[in-house]
Amino acid sequence: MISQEKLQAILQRLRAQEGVRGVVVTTMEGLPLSSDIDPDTTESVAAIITSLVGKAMDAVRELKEGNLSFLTLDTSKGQINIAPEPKEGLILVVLKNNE
Amino acid sequence: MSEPKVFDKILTEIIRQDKGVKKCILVDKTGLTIANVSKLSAFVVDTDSIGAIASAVFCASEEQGKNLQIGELEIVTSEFSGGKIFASACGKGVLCVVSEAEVNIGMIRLVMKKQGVQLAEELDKFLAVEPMPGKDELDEEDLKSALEELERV
Amino acid sequence: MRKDDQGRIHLKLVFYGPSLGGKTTALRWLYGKVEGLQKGEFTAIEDETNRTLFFDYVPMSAGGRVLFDVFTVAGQKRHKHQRKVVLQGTDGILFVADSSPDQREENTESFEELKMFLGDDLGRNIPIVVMLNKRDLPNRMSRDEMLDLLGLGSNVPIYETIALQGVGVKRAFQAIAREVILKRMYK
Repeated sequence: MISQEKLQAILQRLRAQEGVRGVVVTTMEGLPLSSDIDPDTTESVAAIITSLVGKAMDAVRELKEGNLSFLTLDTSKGQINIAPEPKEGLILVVLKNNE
Repeated sequence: MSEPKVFDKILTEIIRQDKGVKKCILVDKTGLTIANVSKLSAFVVDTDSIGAIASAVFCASEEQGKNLQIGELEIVTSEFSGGKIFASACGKGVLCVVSEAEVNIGMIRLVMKKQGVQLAEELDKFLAVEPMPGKDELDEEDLKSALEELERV
Repeated sequence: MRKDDQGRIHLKLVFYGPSLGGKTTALRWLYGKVEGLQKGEFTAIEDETNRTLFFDYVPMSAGGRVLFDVFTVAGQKRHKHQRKVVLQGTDGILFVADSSPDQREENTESFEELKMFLGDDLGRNIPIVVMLNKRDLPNRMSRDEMLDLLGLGSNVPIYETIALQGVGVKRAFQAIAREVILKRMYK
């Protein structure tokens, strides 16, 4: 499993980027591990994004398109970037504002 | 008293949220099963005894929390090699969800908290004793006949 | 008294009393031997020596739309908090007292604890029936001695029982069930 220091370093770098509103790391069980936004939103993000990733992975598998590596949701408020890491059992979620 | 079907509706809503959820049971704190919904594929079990244990386990944890003065109990999670049981506070009752081992725990917690609020309200209405015309006589008939049956046992 | 989603009336009965006094034995006898009662599954939370750790539970019915949810408590002293949990919402108590002379203190302690948990409701809003169990013991305490011990007057129905053989158990159960129903009808 990825070390805490390594993970924290990645999160620091992401948070420093312009337009980033929040960075959440959740387990594949939908439980948040790390977050810099409020607890209620964190809980929702972890639960709902994990559910979405599960469905997306199913879709990719059904279509025999290999493995899911990245998901982007474009929204009116900005963008949600989702990077699943099945080997680590983690999902990285980055919420961004519109530029 | 509210329409009992409303419980089934909310429980069905919860069961649909995640494919790993197999069973939802609503119990009160005396151990009585008020309503339950299962996926068709779920194993057949005696829901009354599942409900009685779910309620007692939750209340025992609640009691433990009181003794340790660590506030209100929100959710009890029991993890087994082949599945999980979640029990959450729900007003005067306890909401119990049985799932497979591999499941989106965050989603189940979220849904239980969200639907728990509505269930708690419905439960309050359900448990409130509102005398309805003719209702008491009906109950009295039931009680009377039980009394007679009892003598014949 | 509560109702389920099918509108059936549920009444909760709890077997209370000191450790190893025969609560579970009495319930098992009712469950196994009394044919006139319709019963659900017997649920027991017990240790490997069959001592109750938390409770036993059986739903029973004498027919019709009234159900009795029958529970026993764990009698050992350290399970006090579990007993409090099981007592929640009870409609009636069947107190199982132990007739062995060496259980004098255990009987009183258990009864005092019950009074503490239920307060003024005990005997008023929550009827109680007492089983003096193990009446086959050669050195059993006398009936008067036991009633004295528990501070019981003539207003509480008393049954002398031998739970192992089922003697008196059915009648004691009928008595508490009747008391609980009557309490609901003429409150």
